[in-house]
Amino acid sequence: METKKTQYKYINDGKILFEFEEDLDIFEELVEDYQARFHLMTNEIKSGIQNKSSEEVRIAAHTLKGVVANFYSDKLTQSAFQLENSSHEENWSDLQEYYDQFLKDNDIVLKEVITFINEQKSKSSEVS
Amino acid sequence: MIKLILVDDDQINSKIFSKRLAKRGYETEVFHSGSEFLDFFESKGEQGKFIIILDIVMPKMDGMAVLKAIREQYSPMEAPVIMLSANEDTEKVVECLNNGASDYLTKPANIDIAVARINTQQELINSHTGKIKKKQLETINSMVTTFNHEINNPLTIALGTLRRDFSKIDEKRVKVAVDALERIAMIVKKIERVTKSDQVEEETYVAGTKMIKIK
Repeated sequence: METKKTQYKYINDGKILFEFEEDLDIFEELVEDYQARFHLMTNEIKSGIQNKSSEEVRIAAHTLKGVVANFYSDKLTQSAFQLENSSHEENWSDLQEYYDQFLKDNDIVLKEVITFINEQKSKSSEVS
Repeated sequence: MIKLILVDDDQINSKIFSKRLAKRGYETEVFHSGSEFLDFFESKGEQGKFIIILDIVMPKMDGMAVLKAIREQYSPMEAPVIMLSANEDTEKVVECLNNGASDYLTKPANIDIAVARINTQQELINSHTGKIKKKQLETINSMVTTFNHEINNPLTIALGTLRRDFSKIDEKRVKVAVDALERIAMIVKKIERVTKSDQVEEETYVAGTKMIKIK
């Protein structure tokens, strides 16, 4: 299905609505779970970089990538992919840089995701 | 509807995916590690009762290792496994399919595609179960034919003995007739047993090959 982008710069809101069958409750739950587990997941990457354990970084970044893929944000997915992919090269200073970039991208994208949820909620309350 | 088992270390995606499948009417159970799932699977041993959705990339024991452990004991018809992969994991997906995976889904899994693939596996299981039932019936029919033949011999002996002039029948001949009738009674009991469907089961003959066994 073709989905058109609207006012959001980093997320594909049409794709979110399509993939989640317009079930905002489930999507919201996913975002809440993500926020609740975010530090745990990113700490695994941080600890992997500190311990120079590429496997630890790879697995944690892979999981993170899988979760953020639900936001249909090329920027954030790409950022997580870069982190996962670079873990093989074991260039620890680059990895630290990619990790910091991921945190920045996450802030931007998550703000949009939350705006999107609030917007959808107000739309549905207008209808009801 | 068949039960779905999700094996994925990603606690967020597995929970959301499980909820979405539940909304489509599926009963689901989630395991967050390969070893945790295998412990359950080996203790349960109920092949053909569920479809397994297995993540490829997991810490410690990955999806490939779990798949291999399943396939050591169960065929894709007994334990269908749908692999969950990231888009770029093409090589791993091919490796899993070559090692007995039934199908695959890419993350984040589209619910309609997931349901379609689950249904395909369900239909394959149903078709396989139907074939097994047919084989069981064929086996029972062959046994009945064999038993009919086996009955005929002692019946001829018993009838032949009893049709004689009774004054000429001695104790030895009576024993021959009784033995023959007892043999018939025993065969009739066997027939009664094998025609009950729960008396037929599948048993491993050699690794990967099952035979139909009549208890």
